[in-house]
Amino acid sequence: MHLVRDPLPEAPTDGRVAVPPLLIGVGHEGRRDDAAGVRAARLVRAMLWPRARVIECDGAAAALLEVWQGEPVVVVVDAMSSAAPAGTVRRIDVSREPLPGDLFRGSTHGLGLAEAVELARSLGRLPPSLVIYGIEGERFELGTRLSYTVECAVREAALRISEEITAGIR
Amino acid sequence: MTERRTRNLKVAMLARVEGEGGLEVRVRNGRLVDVQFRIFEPPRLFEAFLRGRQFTEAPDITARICGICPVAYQMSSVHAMEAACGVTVGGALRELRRLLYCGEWIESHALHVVMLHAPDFLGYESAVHMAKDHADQVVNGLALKKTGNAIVTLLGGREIHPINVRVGGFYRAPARRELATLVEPLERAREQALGMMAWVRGFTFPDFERDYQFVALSHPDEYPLCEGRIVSSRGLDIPVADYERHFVEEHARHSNALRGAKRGDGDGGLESYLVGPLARYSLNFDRLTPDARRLAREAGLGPVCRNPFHGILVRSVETFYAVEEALRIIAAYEPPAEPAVRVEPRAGTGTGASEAPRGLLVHRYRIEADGRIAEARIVPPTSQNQRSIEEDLALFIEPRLALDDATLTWQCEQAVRNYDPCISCATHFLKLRRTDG
Repeated sequence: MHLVRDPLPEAPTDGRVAVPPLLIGVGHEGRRDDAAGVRAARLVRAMLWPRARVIECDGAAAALLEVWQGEPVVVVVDAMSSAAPAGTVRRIDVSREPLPGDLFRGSTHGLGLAEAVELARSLGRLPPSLVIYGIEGERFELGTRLSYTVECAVREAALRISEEITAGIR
Repeated sequence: MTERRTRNLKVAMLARVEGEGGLEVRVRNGRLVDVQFRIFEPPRLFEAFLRGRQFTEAPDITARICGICPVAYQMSSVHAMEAACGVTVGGALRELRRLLYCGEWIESHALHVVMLHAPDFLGYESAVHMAKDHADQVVNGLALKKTGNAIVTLLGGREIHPINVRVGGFYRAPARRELATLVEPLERAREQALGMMAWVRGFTFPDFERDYQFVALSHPDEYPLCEGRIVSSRGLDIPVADYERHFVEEHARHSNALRGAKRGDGDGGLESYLVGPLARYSLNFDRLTPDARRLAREAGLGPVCRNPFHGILVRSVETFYAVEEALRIIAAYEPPAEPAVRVEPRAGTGTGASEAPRGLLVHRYRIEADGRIAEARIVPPTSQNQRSIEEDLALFIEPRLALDDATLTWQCEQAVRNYDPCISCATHFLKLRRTDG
């Protein structure tokens, strides 16, 4: 029999969240840079294993509402298609400000991430803390290879997200 | 004041439809000149991808045509392949296929009724705007959709592009206790479907009817999902294998999707026809469950429905039917001895058809003796309905030309959304001209 001192981490006593944030990687792997969010989420999963809670989602509004229901802290990472330079990484705390509707590509029937956020807000189903990371894409045609600048931005986003998640669960 | 002589209404990008399409209406001197339902989503070439692949790969490849109705593609493809190989799948496996299809109908219809179409009737720009005032109904619709997704996930392995369907049946058949987990959500879904109907029956509907040529599957014992003969409201009654003798597709310059037409019985001229919920319902009303028929009557529907704006009511009836049918199948389920029957390839041609949420979906394949696909043809419902959509618009617009542009454009978009068009599905045709020499 082996006796181990302090086998489990101490329960938080200062009000910090005990459950790690849920990270949702959004995107389509067959549309080149549209996969940036999914790739970033996988990197975070590898960096924080086994502490990260990471899922992948196609970004349809109904699916997003389902997966973040009841979650207190959620981080979403998705490819952006705005006028920003390719590779730009943007952080938006949507529990404090609205999500501009023209930053992200639409999903099935045009009901994508932006619609999911505003729909959840209307229905009172927005997670208390919801942060969205956008990675500006360059090419969205059929294909599986990320653009070089977007590949670099995926690593930057993954680092920033893993730092944010680690700070939340430390 | 100078009289305006030319008026163009243009919707560059239709909202709340699957895929990329637009609409152009031209009016000159107070008369309608032209209506074009433009599909500019690029061709997707699925028929070409299929050539040279094994016959067993068709359900997984064609499922990728649509994220909303992948089950329809899987069902039409497996039936076509089984027809080519001389195999019939019955018993529990056939019932499981119907159950899977019920899941797709529930999720697709709930999405369309609540999130895509209801805002038109209530004057909202989108479901997001509507949710502020109708939160309960949006939550109700999302819950219904979730139950549909749960059926597809349990039977198909995942909710989008299922991976458990194969020629001959499934890779794995569920145990009774697994299906039993769906009963409680489905009992709730039954009430949610009733709630959805109670809501939509209170909408105001434009007074507009057409004498459509309805075309749908029909089966003597059941409301059609996967099997039956192709029938029409004008007396057509043919086996699925004869589809191409009576129906053709043509290319219109303004559209990247082929447009379906029925060959006329007399001079062979091309006629429009309608597939989808209205056609299915009007040709199969007596095969709905008694409760579903009662629900339809209470909503003011007769056994035949010719007002396309009532499509939202018919979809609500079909959603309720799909929930009841799913509960019936689960209650009677006895797991099959094997998850699939063995299907050996042989040289030949097979045609399969099923009822996608948006209407009849036909697949035809020619396969070689070693199982390689030599030729593929896929005819989705939105392609078949293109002519009918344009004819609807022409007839609908003419008496409403006095409306201002914004109102008329809004109503035209609503008329297109009556069809729940799936443009991504419609644009996969291939017209290849090759000269060797």
